[in-house]
Amino acid sequence: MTRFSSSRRRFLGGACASALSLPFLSSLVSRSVRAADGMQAQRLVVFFTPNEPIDREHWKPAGSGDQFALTSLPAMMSGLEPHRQDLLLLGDLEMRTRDIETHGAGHVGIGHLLTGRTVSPYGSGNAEFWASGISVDQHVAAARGVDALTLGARPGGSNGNCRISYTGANEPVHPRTRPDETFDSLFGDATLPADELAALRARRLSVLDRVTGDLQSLRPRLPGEARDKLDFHLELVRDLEQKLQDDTAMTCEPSPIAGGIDYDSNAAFPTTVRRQVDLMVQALACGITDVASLQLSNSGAGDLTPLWPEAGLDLNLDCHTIAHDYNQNRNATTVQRREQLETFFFDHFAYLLDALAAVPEGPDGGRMLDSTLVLWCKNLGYNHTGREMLFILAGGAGGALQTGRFVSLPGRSHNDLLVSVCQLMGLPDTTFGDPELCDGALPL
Amino acid sequence: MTMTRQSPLLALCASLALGGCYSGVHGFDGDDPGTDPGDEGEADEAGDDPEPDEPVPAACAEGPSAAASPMRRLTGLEYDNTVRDLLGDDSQPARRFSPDEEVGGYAANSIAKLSKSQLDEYVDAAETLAATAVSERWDQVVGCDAAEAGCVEGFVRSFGRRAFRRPLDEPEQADYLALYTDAEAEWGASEAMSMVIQAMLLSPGFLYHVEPSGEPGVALRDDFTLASRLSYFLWASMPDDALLDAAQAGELHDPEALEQQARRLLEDERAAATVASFHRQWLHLQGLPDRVKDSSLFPEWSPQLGSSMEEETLRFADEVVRHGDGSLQTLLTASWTVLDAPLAELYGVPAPAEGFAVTELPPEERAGLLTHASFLTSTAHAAESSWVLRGKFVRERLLCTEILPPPPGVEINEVNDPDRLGNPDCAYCHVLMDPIGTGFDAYSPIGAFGDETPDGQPVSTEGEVIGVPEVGSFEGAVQLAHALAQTPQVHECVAEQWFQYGARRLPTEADECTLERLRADFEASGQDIRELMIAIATSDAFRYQLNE
Repeated sequence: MTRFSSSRRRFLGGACASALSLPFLSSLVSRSVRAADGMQAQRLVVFFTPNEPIDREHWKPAGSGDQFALTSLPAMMSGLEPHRQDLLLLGDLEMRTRDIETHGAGHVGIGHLLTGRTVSPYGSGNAEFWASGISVDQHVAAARGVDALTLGARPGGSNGNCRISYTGANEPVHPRTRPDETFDSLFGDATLPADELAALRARRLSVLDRVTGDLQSLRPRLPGEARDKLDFHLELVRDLEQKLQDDTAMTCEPSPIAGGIDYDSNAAFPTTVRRQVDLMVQALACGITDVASLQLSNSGAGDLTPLWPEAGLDLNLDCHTIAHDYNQNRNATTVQRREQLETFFFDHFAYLLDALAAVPEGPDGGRMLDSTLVLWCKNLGYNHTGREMLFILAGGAGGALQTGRFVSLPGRSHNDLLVSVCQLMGLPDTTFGDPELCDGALPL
Repeated sequence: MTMTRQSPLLALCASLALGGCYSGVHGFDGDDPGTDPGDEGEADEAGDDPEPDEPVPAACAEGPSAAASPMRRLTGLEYDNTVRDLLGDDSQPARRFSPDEEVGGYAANSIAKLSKSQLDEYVDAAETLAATAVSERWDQVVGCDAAEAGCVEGFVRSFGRRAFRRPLDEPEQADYLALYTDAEAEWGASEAMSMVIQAMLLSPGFLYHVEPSGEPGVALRDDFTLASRLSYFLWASMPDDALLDAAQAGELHDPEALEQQARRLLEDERAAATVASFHRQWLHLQGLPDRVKDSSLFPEWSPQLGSSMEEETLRFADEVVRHGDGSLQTLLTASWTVLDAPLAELYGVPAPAEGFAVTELPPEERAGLLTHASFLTSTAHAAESSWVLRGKFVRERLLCTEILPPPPGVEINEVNDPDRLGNPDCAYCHVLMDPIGTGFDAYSPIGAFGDETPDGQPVSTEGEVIGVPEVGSFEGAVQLAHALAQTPQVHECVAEQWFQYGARRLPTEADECTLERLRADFEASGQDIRELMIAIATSDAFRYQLNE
């Protein structure tokens, strides 16, 4: 039974605030949530940015040994300084899936990233694959009985290089890319008068009921793979009907996301990212879901060009080339471009953490960030490989995670990180993805 | 579908180990045609007898064979064209949908299951399309007063037949009528009719290409399935009433009648959609306006110029295929194109008086698609052309030699690097691409022609298509284009690319009979693209299905 609303939420209280940036968040109060026993995070947020975090010299914070308290952050993460105590920088993991993967080139790791499995090619060419199993965000969402909110900023086309979230093998979850439209579909109907809303819902249910009838009568008449597709389609329709019948009130006043912007465009990218963060945090704070992901670009980012003077970046070169130039042709210019780009991505991660921290939670001055687990991730490690990967865990995870540290776990599998994420969310999993690649949860 | 995957590690040798880099020719094993699944099952028909004066390809000796075909969902283009033809609505809602999934580089929507956001897209689109239809186009779409006796029943039958591309049976008609009746009582006729339309637009019979199965074995597809395959291949849209009537009358399982319908559809203006869609995908034209080019080197570059380039290529292809000689040679070697004023300036020729017009080009500079600005721009980086991309296109899309991705751990360097061919880690694959790409060096990253460097030295345009003796060494893209146009491997490959586009899947062993016939027919017609389209539409692969 899912708990993800479009039309059913009605708001107590009056008009929505018009502010688009952080100040509106003070009107949102997160549901007070504490686990009855044991410590675990109440919500999971995944934040993806493309390619690798430059290299170890750039991402390793100052300090000696394999584990130490963070006294400072690397230069490209300077925007995260106000949240230094909320971060656990986790270095040197290995994507063991890359060692056994037979398909594709460097970018295939995006299909492994949240699934812990090698991919399933279906066509020809590097990008024609899908992941072979469920991703950790969808797994957690399913265990919680919620619909994950899957968002993207210029994620790219429907192929394996451009998707991180899956409900199963060959079941990519396509991210929603236009925050204004997604806002309307999450919150919009609730602004209708009650009787109009009831009528609209009733008509939609009638239509979907008829559609369900057609799906049910067609499915047995078709062979296996077609029937599987229709069964899955039928489940989605049923979920939609369930949501239309659900009738819980919400205790928040969301702020609409402005329309009139081409959110899919390259030019609007920085704005799109921030508006997606705003949308996501509202959805979490309003209890619409407990699991959300935001995907910035895709595994190569060849279709992203940082022509964003308002964000301090004005490079007429795509992000993929910027990354390769750094790896293959190192000079002062290519280094500077690479650092500027990665700093931009980290600054937007800071925007997310700021937003999560600004939502109050509980009576003791707590923040929604404290009961959230945030997974920052990229699809690549050292020089486009799966080696020396950096991950960042942020937020208190309900007290289950000790932050403000750097931890290096050389040789540990990234599958084990996915196991840790599950356990930090209160799930009992001891493996995730391909069990052969797991040793168990990480010592965090 | 089987693909030979060579381990990249096997290929680490400095000699020209062609077998190490590519995944077979034509993208499948190419071994013996394999067993005919028709051996075990029954064919509904005796099978298509070949022309008496044509030799029967060996692969066809056992009767028709068919490959399993996963169920496909409408592509974005198909959705938009279908609602245009069904409802008279040209708002193109699918332009805002999630992108299509591609197989072999052609939109297919055949593998992944539906995603929740996609269902939401369909629901929103159906609501808007239906509301607009009843409020603005009632006469055209419904055509009668709902209060009239028989109006709604008639609508359910006739609109339903068009929406699902087959007649509704009695229980289905009753269900839709019940939906209408209950809704009309609560919300009135207009809303009720809107709901009927919505439900049909969300039904699997609309959204998917539903092809009924049967007893295990190879069987002729039913008439309505044939009608749908014909129109979606040739029009990227739903069958018209004439085609549905022919299906209803059971005419389409006769190969001659099917061919007649195919020719009728090809003559129709709606065939332009297919010609455009094929060329857009075959030539990777998507995203041209978004390309980033160095503004100091190419101040004339703009998204509008990119749009013009795409339009030039599509108009040119349409001109050749639907209004000209339909010849592959013309597509690959023509020294004319269809351009507008900004492109004329780029090409260095007089501008047309207005809009796009057929224009002659210098034949020593231009020869068909390979010298179109669109191709040259999409195979170049911001400041430099790409030997790899230009060579890769020729290999994969004109010679059907799939190039495997670089092996893991090898450093990728996205610049033109002459030393690459001396590096054993790279050479075994790059020898297939870079020497072709160098032959294009007289064309800038936005397709302008320049055979001299700034200080007056001639630009070297030597190239070589290794492993293809009919081409071999060449000087410049014009020579290359003319040579490729005469190369049988290119003819076969283009036939296969069209097949792949139409079938929306990769070819398999079971398609070998069809492919052999297509290659033979294409050769016999002098590489006539129109005849190729007809041959595909009436091929065994299209007419027969494999029931598992």
